[in-house]
Amino acid sequence: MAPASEHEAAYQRFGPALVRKAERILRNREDAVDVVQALFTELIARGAAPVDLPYLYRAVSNRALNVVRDARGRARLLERQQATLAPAPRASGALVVGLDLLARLCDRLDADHRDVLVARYVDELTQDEIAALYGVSRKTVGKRLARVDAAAAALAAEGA
Amino acid sequence: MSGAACIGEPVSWLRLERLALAELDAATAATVRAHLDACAACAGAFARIAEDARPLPRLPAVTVDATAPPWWARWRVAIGGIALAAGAAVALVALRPATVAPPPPGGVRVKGAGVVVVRLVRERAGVIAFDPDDVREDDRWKVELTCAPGGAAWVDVAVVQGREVAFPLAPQEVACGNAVAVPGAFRITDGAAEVCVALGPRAADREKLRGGARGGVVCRRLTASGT
Repeated sequence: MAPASEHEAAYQRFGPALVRKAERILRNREDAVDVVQALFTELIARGAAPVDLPYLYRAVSNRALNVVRDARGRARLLERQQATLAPAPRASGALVVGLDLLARLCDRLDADHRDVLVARYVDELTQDEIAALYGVSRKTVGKRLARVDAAAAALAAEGA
Repeated sequence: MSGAACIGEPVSWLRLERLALAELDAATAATVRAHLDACAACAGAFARIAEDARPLPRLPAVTVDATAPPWWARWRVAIGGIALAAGAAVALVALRPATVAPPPPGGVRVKGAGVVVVRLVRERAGVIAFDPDDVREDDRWKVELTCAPGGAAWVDVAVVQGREVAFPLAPQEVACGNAVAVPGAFRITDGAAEVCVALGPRAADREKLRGGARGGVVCRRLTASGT
């Protein structure tokens, strides 16, 4: 069990990075800070063991996606979103995952695929990094990514 | 927002953050820095991190009474058993013994969500407490749910004080997850209260809730704080 001071130190050290990550998903700082603070208060309350940045990255993804998936949370996010908090993708031709698309894809994808969606198109992790972060093979990541791309293509076709 | 494209494979945000935190080993850091020297897009992304001087709000203090019994032992859970008995134009809460198999500790079963565990969160002067026993007028309250991802449950919150029943939040469907905060916060005025959280596969009928809900309801009694 880690003392609260260790988690508080981790919050000071990693908090800014985690808030930036949550902002890329949620597109507003207030909700991003809420997600990160809720994570650390939970870790402190549980007396959880010390955790590293990759673990926290995954945890923030989960919590931020919970907000996106919630119907009322989603409506609030769409009202509050600030485009400047989400930089354009750096990879040529990469899927641009705005808040609306993210929300709609969340409705069609299970948790494993949502993780890959965020890791690849929001956090811009390489497939090798995603495989390491989630403890799966690169092949599995590729398959999940293909499923994500197919879901995005289907949504685009429906909107055309 | 920059529209610049990377010259190759973008350096991930996680790797850039770890570079900024000096968490990368020397070889990896050198490789990343070499990429940043050649790639305006990734250098711009790293600059966003390096130049982000926005202050991080202080983490709320968390108080957890390790000697207290588990919170679920202090909640009164009744599946198909809580009754909000109507008075003349108002209602009283009455709890009936469960007549079906008891729910798992701290949770109720909801069709479409499985076991849903409720936690009441209080913020008092910047200090967070989970499942506290007392209430003050300046407290801010939230409800958290934990249930298996993939499910969803409708949630309604009733604050019962004597003969009065108030619903501080709109009924809402919440997607399952770990400690998912029910959107919205509320305050409780006028002293002691019982907070009841109704969970179900659809929105609870408030009139039925006042008169004796059939769905799973979890209640917690709060005493008025002396300070």
